[in-house]
Amino acid sequence: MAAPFWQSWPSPWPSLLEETARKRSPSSWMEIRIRAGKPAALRTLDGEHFLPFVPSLEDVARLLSLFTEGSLHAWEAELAAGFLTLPGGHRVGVAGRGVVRDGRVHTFRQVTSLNVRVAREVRGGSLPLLPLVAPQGRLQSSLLVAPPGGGKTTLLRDLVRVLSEGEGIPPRQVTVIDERGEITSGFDVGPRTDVLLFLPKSQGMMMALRTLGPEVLAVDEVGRREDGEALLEAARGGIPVLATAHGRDRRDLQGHPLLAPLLPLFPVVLFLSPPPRPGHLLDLLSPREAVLR
Amino acid sequence: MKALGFLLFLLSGWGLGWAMASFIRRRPKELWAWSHALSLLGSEVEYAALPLPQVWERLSREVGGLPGRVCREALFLWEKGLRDAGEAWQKALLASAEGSALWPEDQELLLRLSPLLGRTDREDQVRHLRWTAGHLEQRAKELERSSQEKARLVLYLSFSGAAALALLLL
Repeated sequence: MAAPFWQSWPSPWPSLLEETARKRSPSSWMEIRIRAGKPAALRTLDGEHFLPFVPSLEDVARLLSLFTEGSLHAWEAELAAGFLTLPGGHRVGVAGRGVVRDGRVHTFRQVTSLNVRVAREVRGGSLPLLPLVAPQGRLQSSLLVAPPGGGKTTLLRDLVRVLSEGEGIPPRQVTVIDERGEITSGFDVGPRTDVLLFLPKSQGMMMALRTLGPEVLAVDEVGRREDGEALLEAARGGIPVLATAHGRDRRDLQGHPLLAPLLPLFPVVLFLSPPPRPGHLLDLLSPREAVLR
Repeated sequence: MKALGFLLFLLSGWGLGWAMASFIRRRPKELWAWSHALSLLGSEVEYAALPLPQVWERLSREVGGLPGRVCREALFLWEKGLRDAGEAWQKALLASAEGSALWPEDQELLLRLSPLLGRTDREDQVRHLRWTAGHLEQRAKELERSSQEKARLVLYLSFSGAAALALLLL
């Protein structure tokens, strides 16, 4: 069994989280919230739990040093976007004193909070969705929609693996554009998967279409203006796209100024339930407008 | 017998002088080596945006002498669990100070990088590294000629001193 991701963290985190893991199974962990001068907190599927430790600014700095390999300069682009991705796909949101240059966030000088979003692998979790995403084995462009913590990335990751391995469906050449490293970092995403890591989605999609000959494209969290053009290009080439987006329900999505125009490109839109039941199908927007419960 | 003793005196005087002269010549060489190593470190940070442990690993292979040893030691400390690049750098420098020909003020320049390494953005890192490399280079240039002269003087003095002593003892 792989060592838990917190094992290399500085003291007292390993013992603290080990103790916590004995009380609450790490499979239910969603976020570890670390704020200087405030009690650390763990968000699980069943709620928020404060931990018996108040990290200091120095503790936060030590963690950040570990996450950035003691080299803030090497993570400038990620810090400018406000997050880091750890090995294993865990995403760390960063808050603190920002440095703005030319009107853009450049980096953080003093980090006061870290929010570690725990990535999970649910092998086979996407299999129940396969008949909806690929009716009669014909893969459709599909959009997985859920609020934060709804399991979008976890399901997308497993869908990629299933398609790449050909589990219950003929295998496909899959290209993942993993802008934040959350989908693929440290996970098994199948033998026929190419990964474009830390590239902007739109550029990555265009690059993949031109050079990698994908049979399926997978991207996390579409919704920027420039994503539309790349998605359209994929649709023109007849390449199905699996994507995720933030949202709660169809009203939420249809009222979104950037996502609504993209909807015609996705014959299948799956709405997933928020915590405490992430990854469960709530609603389906399909060409037939069927609603499943 | 006397001739052999005389010769031995001369040889030991020359040997002592040679050891002292080569120590004097080492300081500018080490300063040059450090200036070169810090320039490389700056380039890796600027163009490859590599994390410091990776840069140390590369430099410990590509740069010889003291800077290479310090990089190896810093990497070793990092891998052992000291997850603070500045602290690893400081400890590695202090550990290597004994075998070095650098003067305390040269060491001080290198140690001043400790609280800065890895803690700021790329531009800032490069600025500090280049500034330190430039200072070390300047010192090396100033020392190069004078250290040659000093080394030669020490060599002659120790040789002639040994010869004079041997003559007196004859």
